[in-house]
Amino acid sequence: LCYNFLVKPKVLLLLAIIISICSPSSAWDQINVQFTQQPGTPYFVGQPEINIDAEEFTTLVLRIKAAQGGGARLYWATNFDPQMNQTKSLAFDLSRSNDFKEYTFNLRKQNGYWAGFVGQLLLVPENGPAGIELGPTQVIPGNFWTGFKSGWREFLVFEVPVPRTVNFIYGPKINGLSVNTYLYWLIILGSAGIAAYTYYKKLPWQTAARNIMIVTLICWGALDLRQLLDQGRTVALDWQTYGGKSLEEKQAATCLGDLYGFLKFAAANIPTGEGFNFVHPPQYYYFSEKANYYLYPTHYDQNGRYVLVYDPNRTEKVPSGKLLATHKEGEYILIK
Amino acid sequence: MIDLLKLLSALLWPTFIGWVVVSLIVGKTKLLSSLEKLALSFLLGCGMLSLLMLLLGVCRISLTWPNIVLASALLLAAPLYLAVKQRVLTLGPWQLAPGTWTLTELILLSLITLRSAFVLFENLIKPVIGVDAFANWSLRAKVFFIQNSLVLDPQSSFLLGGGAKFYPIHLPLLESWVFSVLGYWNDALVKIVFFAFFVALVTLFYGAVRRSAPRIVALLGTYLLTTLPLLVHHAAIEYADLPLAIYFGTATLLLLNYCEADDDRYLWLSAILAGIGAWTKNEGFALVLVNLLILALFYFRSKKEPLFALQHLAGYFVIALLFKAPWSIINYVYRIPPNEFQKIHWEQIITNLYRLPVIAQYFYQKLLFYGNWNIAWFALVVVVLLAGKRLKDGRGFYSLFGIGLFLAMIAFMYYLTENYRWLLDGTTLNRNILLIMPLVVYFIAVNLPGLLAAAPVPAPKQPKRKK
Repeated sequence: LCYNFLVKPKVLLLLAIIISICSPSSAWDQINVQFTQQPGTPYFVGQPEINIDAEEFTTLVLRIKAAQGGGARLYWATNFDPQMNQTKSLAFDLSRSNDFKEYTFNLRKQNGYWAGFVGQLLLVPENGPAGIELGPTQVIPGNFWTGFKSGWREFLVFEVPVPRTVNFIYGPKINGLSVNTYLYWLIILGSAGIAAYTYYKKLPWQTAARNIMIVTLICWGALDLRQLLDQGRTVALDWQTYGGKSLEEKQAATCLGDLYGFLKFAAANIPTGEGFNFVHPPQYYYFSEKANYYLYPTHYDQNGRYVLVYDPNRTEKVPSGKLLATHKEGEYILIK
Repeated sequence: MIDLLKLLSALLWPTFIGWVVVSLIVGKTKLLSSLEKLALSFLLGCGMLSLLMLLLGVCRISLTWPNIVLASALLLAAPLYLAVKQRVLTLGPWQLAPGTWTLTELILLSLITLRSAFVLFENLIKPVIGVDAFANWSLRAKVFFIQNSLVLDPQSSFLLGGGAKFYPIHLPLLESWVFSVLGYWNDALVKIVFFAFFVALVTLFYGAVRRSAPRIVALLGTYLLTTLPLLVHHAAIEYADLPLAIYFGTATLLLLNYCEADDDRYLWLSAILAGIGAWTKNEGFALVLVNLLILALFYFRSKKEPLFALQHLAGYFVIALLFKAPWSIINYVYRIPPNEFQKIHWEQIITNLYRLPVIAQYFYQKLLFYGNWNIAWFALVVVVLLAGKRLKDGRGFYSLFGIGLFLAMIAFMYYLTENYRWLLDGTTLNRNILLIMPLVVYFIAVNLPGLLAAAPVPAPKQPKRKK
């Protein structure tokens, strides 16, 4: 039957048409992006004013050769919002490979801000651009197959635990939709099928209820396997970050930048039990709380005699005082 | 190695305190298996030890480990004597139902063990990382340990350990107890406490389901509980949400045992745990109300005498209050301002109507379409639809009633308090939902035996005889 099906010319023609519809877009239906990396910059930038119609060209196909794995983030600028920012971005994992590996993203579905006309693309590898090579990159309208590839990649993205995770976990997604949605539909359609079969075969309803419950539990277990994958990755990440380190080194690893080093420096220079004010850029959340926690009994006090200044980029207004000690540029202690 | 022994001692001492109390309550009955008894002893002992530390602190007695051990030994002397005299100081049966293990059961057990190992690893590999822990929970533990006191100077910014002063200090005191036994401040090793809490939950949950279900279903239910991503995440951080969920969850599970077995001992154990929950976090006292309403409904449906019902309801409330009262008195004496976000604005009952659809939408989205709870809430709906008439009574009915009541209660909280803003920014809803998750999975698990049972095979039709 299979043989007859394949050798018939009309069927072959039909198959060819279907494949051509489903295949990655043809040459006249794609926009080529040329990424370049200027020496001294930590990113790859696409050519400017490329003007991609986001409504039609939904899918990006990147080809990347990477000497080491790690995270990466793709940014884009649009006519609505010409800045490159986190809102209009997509995080993904880079795999280590000796050849060009294809990364397909249905950006329209994965991020609602892929909208209007996209003017430029930017790719930032987490571990810097060294050892990373970008091959031909296209933006295409997308089809079933690219949607599948993009969805699968999105499904496997590692949701790294961050401080916000204590409040909620996004969970895995496929093409921008929670995996739960797919599972619910699977259970609902499966249940409808089971109910119909039970009715048709005049089986007891208890059997149908049993089978529906089994389908639900299987879906639950399947989603748990996906969760186990992320927990395994969390173990690997935490082992890499904290494994084999002393308590002090571990505590330093929980702080951004050189904060912990600076706090140790402060502990050595402020008399124990004294109060200190802390000046730091406002976007560094919980720095004062961490300083209070690690330095106690020396403690945070807005009217304290000492002022700790942790401002590596020197953007903050610093209260007047006499310089007591300097740790590094932009990291020093004042005394009132 | 010495640190390991010290850590073990830090866990064993509260467990011993709890064991004496649990043994006295349970008596010679086989109400609890040995593992359940140990887990319950740990939970009860932690609550009692921290309460004792609070009282020592108020009496200005230094919070060093010899003082704490001495004080608890003195207080424990009489109950210990009674327990020894009555010969109730035993562990009880080791298994609820012995027998050989099937492959499926072993797989489920391995998965539960794997999750527990993950929680242990995540707790011990890293120090404190939670932002509220830096600002409140772990900060206060460090303050208590370094000062060896509750810091009762009203002028000090570290009065009662500083941080968010209106929060009870059960957890910070427990952590400072571990530091005292260790002899130094180590905010990575102290997290062994959170692993112990998780193991206690798993053990007590298994025991509760096992009472009404075969071993394989009890294991399946316990495995399902450990698949909840946010619960597992909370088991490895330094917040009070999971300990509160454990106290409230186990209190409710014991209450359900009481509803079925009609044995007062379950009720009093449940009341103590609910009280310790109220001493863990302020929200815990509202949860006592949930349990009281479940109990009231049980008495109403089982047509108990009103006097009997009132006595038991009052007894439950008073026992729970006993654990909360010291902290409330201290708050009153030191004029600790209450959490403004929890103030109920009755005057906004009409003007806040606009919040209702928003609250409903947030519940729908966060419960069903985020990665916090796997598909537990959808499975709950499936079970309700499939179980139908079976939910008319028993554990299934009362647990479902408790879940509904809890959801209504937190919806009410968002409707009439300023906590609404924490709903909108996604901060608190799932942490509140965490409190009810053991009961949600329990409801699913206890209904599984009925749902998974094979349909009765209809008797073959007899061929009609021709006359």
